[in-house]
Amino acid sequence: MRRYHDMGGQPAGPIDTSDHAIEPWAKTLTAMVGALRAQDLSRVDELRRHIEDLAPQDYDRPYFERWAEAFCDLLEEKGFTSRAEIEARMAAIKAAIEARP
Amino acid sequence: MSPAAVSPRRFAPGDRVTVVYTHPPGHRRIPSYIRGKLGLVERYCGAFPNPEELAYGFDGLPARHLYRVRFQQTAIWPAYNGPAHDTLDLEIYEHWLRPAEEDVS
Amino acid sequence: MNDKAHQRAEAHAHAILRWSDDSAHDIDETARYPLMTEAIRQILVEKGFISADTVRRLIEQMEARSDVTGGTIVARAWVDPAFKARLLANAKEAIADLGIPEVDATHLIVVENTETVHNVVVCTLCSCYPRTVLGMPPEWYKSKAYRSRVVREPRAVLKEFGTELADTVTVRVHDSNADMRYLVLPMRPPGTEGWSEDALAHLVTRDCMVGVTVPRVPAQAHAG
Repeated sequence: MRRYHDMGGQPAGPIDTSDHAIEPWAKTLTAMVGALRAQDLSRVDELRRHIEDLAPQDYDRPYFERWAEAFCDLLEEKGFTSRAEIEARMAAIKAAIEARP
Repeated sequence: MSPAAVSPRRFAPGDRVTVVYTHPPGHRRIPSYIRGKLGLVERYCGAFPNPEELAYGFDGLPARHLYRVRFQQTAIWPAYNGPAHDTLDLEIYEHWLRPAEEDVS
Repeated sequence: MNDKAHQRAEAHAHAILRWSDDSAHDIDETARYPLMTEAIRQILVEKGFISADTVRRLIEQMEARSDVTGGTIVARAWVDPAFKARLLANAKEAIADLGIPEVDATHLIVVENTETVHNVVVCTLCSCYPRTVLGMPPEWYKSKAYRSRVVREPRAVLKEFGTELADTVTVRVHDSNADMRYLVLPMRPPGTEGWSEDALAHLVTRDCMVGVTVPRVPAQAHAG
């Protein structure tokens, strides 16, 4: 009955209290989510719901990775793009980077 | 949003309340650890569109009353490791609360 | 438009985003998530949902954020009892009076640490955090371990951060599960009499304002 994200009170190990730098792609992701939200094209609650609906193995990804996966689902649900379109563009960008001299 | 669209408040600071014990599917902002627990209304936080509906693209209106509710940790966790006066505060929407007297335990 | 040329140009433009601390990290732009983010960025910009300028501007804002915004608010509360009273009653109005533009304190509640109450903040359901005051949350705040344990065994968690509280102090956990965001107003440490507001502001770390630590005066300040 308790869903995976609803983890208050669950047993867990020690806390890693160290600081981590935020990677550039994570900042870009945050900015894109913010830009859509500022135009009321998406709501924070919608992204939260998509994060909660991830399979446990995807939920267990690092924070911004699960945001990214949920964001793909959100964009597809809204009809802004699709996983297929995103994956195709990822392949094209990768090819372009690898083709650089 | 017109104030007339928001229902009168059901609770006031100091009221003893119980969190409804239910596990509906979908986006809920009430952690399972607090469902069914007894607490005290600490303050009224305002009326907000319901996040349970905003999550699915609805407007969440009419706004729902939100209360900050204080719980004794010893009332939440069996064998809480700490003094009896430790507390936990959460915000709970009115539709997730019942007056404590309504529940027969 | 030549798709490949366009993409090559875009990929090159993206490559000029460097780590803001100028360290010599290698960015693997072909890893899944950098690729995914860039793909989404290109698609959303091409379709007109967002502009590249808006994305750039929001990133610049993130990187330009001051680390001392929260400390400035706390320091003012320490030196000005009237401000402190207003802050605890209505954070939005009190902070607006300070004139800090980037802070949206609409749903902010400031909770005060005292000799008898110690506050600590979490979001067990996701990672809600007072971002407009404190910026991005630290990794540990978002972790499974913190989110799971601090509601159930706050004293053990605080101990992991080096904070131990007597049994006479009430530990009060705030689970930010709805629209309110919490900022802890720590107690002013002894030995700071006469300090400038600026010095006080720099004493207040982010961790103090989440409630996992308390402000400490560095040892060398005791000299003389």
